[in-house]
Amino acid sequence: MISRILPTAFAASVALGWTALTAAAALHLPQMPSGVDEGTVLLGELNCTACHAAEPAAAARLSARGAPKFGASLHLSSAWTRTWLLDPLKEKPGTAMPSVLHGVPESERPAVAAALTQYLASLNGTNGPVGLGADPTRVEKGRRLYHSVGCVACHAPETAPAEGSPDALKRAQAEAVPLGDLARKYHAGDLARFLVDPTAHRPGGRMPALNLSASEAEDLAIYLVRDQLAALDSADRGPKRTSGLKYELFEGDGSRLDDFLKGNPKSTGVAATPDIGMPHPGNNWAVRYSGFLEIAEEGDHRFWIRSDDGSRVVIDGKPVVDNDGVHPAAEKSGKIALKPGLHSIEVSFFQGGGETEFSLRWARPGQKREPIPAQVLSHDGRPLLPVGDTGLAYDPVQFAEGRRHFAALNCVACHAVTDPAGPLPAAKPAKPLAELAGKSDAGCLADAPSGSAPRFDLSPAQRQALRRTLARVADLSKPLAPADDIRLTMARLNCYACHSRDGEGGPVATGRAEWFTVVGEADLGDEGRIPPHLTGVGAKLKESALKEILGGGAKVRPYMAARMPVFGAESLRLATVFKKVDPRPDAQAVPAFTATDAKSGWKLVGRDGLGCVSCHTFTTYGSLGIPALSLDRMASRLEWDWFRRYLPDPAALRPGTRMPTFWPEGQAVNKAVLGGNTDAQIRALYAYLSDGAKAEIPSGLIRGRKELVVDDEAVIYRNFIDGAGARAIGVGYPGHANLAFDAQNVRLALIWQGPFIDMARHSTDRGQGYEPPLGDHRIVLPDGPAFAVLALADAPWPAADATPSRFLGYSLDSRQQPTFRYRTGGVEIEETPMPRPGPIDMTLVRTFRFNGKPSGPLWLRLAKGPIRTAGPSFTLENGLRITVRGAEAVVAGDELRVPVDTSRELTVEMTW
Amino acid sequence: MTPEPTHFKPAMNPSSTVNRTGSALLALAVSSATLFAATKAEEESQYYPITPIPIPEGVLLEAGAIQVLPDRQIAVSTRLGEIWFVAGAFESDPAKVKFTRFASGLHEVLGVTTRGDGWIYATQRGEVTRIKDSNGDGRADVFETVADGWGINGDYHEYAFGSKFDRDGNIWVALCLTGSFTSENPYRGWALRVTPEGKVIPTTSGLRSPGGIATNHLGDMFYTDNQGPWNGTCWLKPLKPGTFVGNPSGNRWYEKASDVMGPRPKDPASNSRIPTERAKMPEFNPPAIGFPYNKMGQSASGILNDSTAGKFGPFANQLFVGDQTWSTVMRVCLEKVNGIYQGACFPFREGFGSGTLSLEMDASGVMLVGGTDRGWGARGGKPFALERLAWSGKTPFEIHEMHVKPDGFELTFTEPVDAESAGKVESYQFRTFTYIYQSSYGSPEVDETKPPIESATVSADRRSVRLKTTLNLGHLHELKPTGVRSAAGKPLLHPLAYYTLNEIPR
Repeated sequence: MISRILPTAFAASVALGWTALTAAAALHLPQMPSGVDEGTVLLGELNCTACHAAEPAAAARLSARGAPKFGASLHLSSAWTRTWLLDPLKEKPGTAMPSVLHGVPESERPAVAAALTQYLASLNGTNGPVGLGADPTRVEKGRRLYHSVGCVACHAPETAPAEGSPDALKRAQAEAVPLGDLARKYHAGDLARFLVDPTAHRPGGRMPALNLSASEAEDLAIYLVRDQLAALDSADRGPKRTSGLKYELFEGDGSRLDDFLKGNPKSTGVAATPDIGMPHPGNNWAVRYSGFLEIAEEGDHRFWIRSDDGSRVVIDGKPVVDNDGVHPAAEKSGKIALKPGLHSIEVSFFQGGGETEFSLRWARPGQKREPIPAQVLSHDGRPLLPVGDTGLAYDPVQFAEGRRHFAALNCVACHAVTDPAGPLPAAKPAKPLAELAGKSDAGCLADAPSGSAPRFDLSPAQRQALRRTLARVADLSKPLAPADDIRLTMARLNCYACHSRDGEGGPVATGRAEWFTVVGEADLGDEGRIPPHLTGVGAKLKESALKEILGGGAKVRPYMAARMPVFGAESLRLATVFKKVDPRPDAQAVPAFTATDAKSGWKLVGRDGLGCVSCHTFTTYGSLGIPALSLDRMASRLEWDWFRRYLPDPAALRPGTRMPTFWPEGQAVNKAVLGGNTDAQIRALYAYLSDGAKAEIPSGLIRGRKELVVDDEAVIYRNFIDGAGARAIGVGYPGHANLAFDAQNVRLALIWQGPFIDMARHSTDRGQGYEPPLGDHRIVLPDGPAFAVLALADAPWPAADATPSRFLGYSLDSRQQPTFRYRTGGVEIEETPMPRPGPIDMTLVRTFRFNGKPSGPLWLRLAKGPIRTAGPSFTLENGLRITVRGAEAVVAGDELRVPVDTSRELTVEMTW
Repeated sequence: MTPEPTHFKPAMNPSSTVNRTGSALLALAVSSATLFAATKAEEESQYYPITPIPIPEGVLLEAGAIQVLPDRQIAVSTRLGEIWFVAGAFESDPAKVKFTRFASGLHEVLGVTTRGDGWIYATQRGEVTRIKDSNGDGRADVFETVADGWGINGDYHEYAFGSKFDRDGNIWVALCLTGSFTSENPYRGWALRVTPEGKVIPTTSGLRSPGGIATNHLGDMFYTDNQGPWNGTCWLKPLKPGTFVGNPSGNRWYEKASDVMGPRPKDPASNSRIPTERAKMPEFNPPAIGFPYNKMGQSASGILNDSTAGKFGPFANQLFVGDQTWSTVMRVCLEKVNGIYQGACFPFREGFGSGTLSLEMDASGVMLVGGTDRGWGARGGKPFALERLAWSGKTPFEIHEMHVKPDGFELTFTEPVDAESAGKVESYQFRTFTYIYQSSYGSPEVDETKPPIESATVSADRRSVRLKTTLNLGHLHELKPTGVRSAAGKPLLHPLAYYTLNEIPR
């Protein structure tokens, strides 16, 4: 059996790509800064003091990394465990786990490994948890997380970024902390649990927590075991259902569910129950859950849905509860007769602005109202299983054997065990560390360790480093200078992978900078993606802030994809040491603020002062431009002495920062506040910032509305209009009809009624972003060009960039109403939209005139979606009624198309 | 907040929000402007007085570009998408100034020009458009897309600055990157030429964040670029077709432009110096003039050549360049050495009402300066402004030109110098420095040297001085001739010059 597994394992590790590249015969260590003793680091990473007891001072300096705990912990694949125990160094080159079976005669090793596997499986539980679904979209999400949140600062990247260099990829793969064959080792659910809080399972804190949400951890885990998907495919097992409902999260704008539930979702995932617990924006988003509802008893089932804003429940395609629209929290209910078995269920909810509330309950026949239990919800998907795992049947004889071997091999020295059968017998202690000086070419440090000593994956150089350190073993008990303590600890935890300090380390030095990215449109360059340098960080950050960051991660830079991880006690200790080393001896104490300082600071921060809010956010208010660090968090983080030195010359303390100075050469640019006194202004800013989130909102962050009012003439507004693109031409007509033409894709994009548009966004500050129409009854017309040359009437409609449509301009009539001109397929087209108000509905009459001969049959697409024909008109689900004069419109699939005769005028009436 | 309707019409019920802000800013500005003006601006005003052109209430004249029209009206295009015709802009009586809105609803117009045939050419964010009033009612009614061969995606940073017509009848469009750091859409970070037929020719790559574009007196096109990634400071850069001017973010579009531009050059190395990278990249045309950050200004903007042959004073055929943050106009004297443009910049005039953005000059030598501070605060303090700058007829004592020689510099002056003070090396403070050429934002001044001025030799006509010193390639050479006096005993109005040295004469 073992001989069959080993070749497979080998093949799998080669297939993974990077494992083979990291197969150096040496324990993997991060790069060391100058002056850090490699032997000292190795003694800690190899957990030497687990067997060789050290004096307390030496033990503290070595900070042994420990080994995974067993018992009520993670389930390990039995097949993997056996292979691993037989030769961990071969299974995962670079591992800190020594080979312990090399002293057992080769013929007996399989039996010993099998027995140990029985024992470990009994501690961890014999069966894995319910598998996570084999969802390829989650592999992709996991891949993105893996390559962005910081995993590849230490581990091997699988891919290079879009414009990355192949050399950097090779180097990063070669110099990586090995992962081993996770697809054979773990159940994805267990791995996800591990990723959420690694230190619970591996207390040494070398693998930190990356502040992953439960669903992110699952995505990442599914990515890491992605070979399990391929194994499932090749196993050709039929589709299965897995627990939970699938969800799709949308962002958008509108007043009805269907305004949101279109296009591609922003994210997808699996939720145990519909509870809007996934990460979502504050406002303007929607979610659709879908899957199966398992019904046990025939009869009427009633559903209640309470929401703010709209929601609905659809079962087997039938709407059961419709609670759509913008409204405060409101509950509606509906019932449906269901037979036992599986029924499709779809639950949707959207949040516009204001309060957010959502809950769904049901009552089975004759039962009371309750939340829908997770057990009756499922969706299509096959559970993932460790590759090659065959499960394990409990064998009491092997278990007892395994327990005996575990004790005899002294596994317990490194691995903490929760054994219900009681404590394990202690092994004979090894020589204390202090006695190893001069004996360091024997035992586990021998070039070829004897059978009784564990065999570590060490290079000759690493052995030499250990011998050198052990030769002066007494030095390990001497106190370590705080500055050296910082370097040793930062090296041990590989802080240098992300941060430079005193010119050493950081992603640029390690060649991994290109994997550090920015979230969204921060526009901060390297500053937005590379974690801050730590030179003098103890002078910059308050001790409380350092402790908060080291103990719980940092969240002040929302634009940075890499996350500050949580390492546990070992890193938390650094807060105090930074404070010992970094502060300047001449540091100024926080000055006494005058009664008006905070007020002056408020003036400086706002857009009429220095305009800090042009870039910096404040509490929940976005800045006027980029999302630079929030003003309300500054004084709680930054030391006054650093702040006062930073502001007059930011680039001196943070080279390459985008932060400009407002006191060049010490001279205040703003002379209006505090008489242009530099020191007084900086003091006033700190006074204002010291009020934190309670400070008065800086001026400029609350934007009023500036409605562009239409009187007796049409008004044109070319700008970024949501739904009509970056080259939108909005037209507001007298009589409350409005449209937006998309000059990029050459199409009428939107029509709506009521107020035209709010121009505050584009006339305030830099005018960033898209503004939606202001009115109501918005109708969204199909994406892509309006006209196209089609060989066949039912040919798929071409994309915008595949169609040579060109916008040519417009002319205005005496009431400023435009006639648009554009060219498609060799024909010049003039389109004059003209609103015609009716008693209830509005009609937009679009008159088309053509000039030129088309290169092929020319078509106009008017609508997309379910279309009903009613006499000469066509009606869409959104209530839009279309009448075509001068041509015969046809329904092709879900599109309404008109064949164009370019010799005559064409009129289209759109009523809504 | 209660919605307040805005009538998007001339001189009618303007946006109250903007007005409130406006007046608050105005109040603030008066005090700060006064403090600034008290010293240098007052002195400067004897030679070049600033006259504000009154803007009617309700007109938000964030002047993106200005064009003098054949009838001496001026056209002012705005960031809010309007084009105003202003009659009487050169009159001394404000009552004679009349604003007429010619067009509206355009998208942030940062270029406006005309051939005098009734068509107004406007560079909008997404296209160059020509606009005409075909029925003579004073309002534009025909809007024709001339060219739209570049991309925009809704990022505010994607500005498009349009030039006047060049000698071949082209309009040049300088396209800002998508943000400070990336080029997400075709030709962001490029200069394109739009031919009279509407053809778009990719012309120069390597732009970052232009603030203005215009030709010098020889008809060669230049633009200003702002401090940021790959720009250690703000620069005036030549736009020679087929070259690369420093920021590689937009170089991905070489693949669309290979027929005119050739293959994509290898990206420059970061954390280097311009001469080092220039040596590796034949396409790299170095910046002609550096405006040292926080010394000359902070955001270089509009460019204007004085083509009035003396009507604007002694600086004919020199360039004037705005600085938006400092609300100033600087002066530039260019020369071509070994085929490469370089030269010196000098302070010229401060104290404009808002953030200087657009510059224009009429044939009589009156400069028009348009300003806006929206999104980027400016010292001027007003949200927007339109001002005239004219020569009073009095000649300021200034460095007229600064030329490099193989062993130093030659300075010419606007007035004869006092031979004794101008001939003493102690009258000149001199140092050189450069900037790191790097992908991160800006740069400190680095590689500073302080070579001695070995000699200062005054010419026989006392109009020029030869300075012998050591030159540093790729450096800015800061000269402060604080000790120099005119023959009449006056100190220099602006004893400060920065010469950018790309080439030493062979």
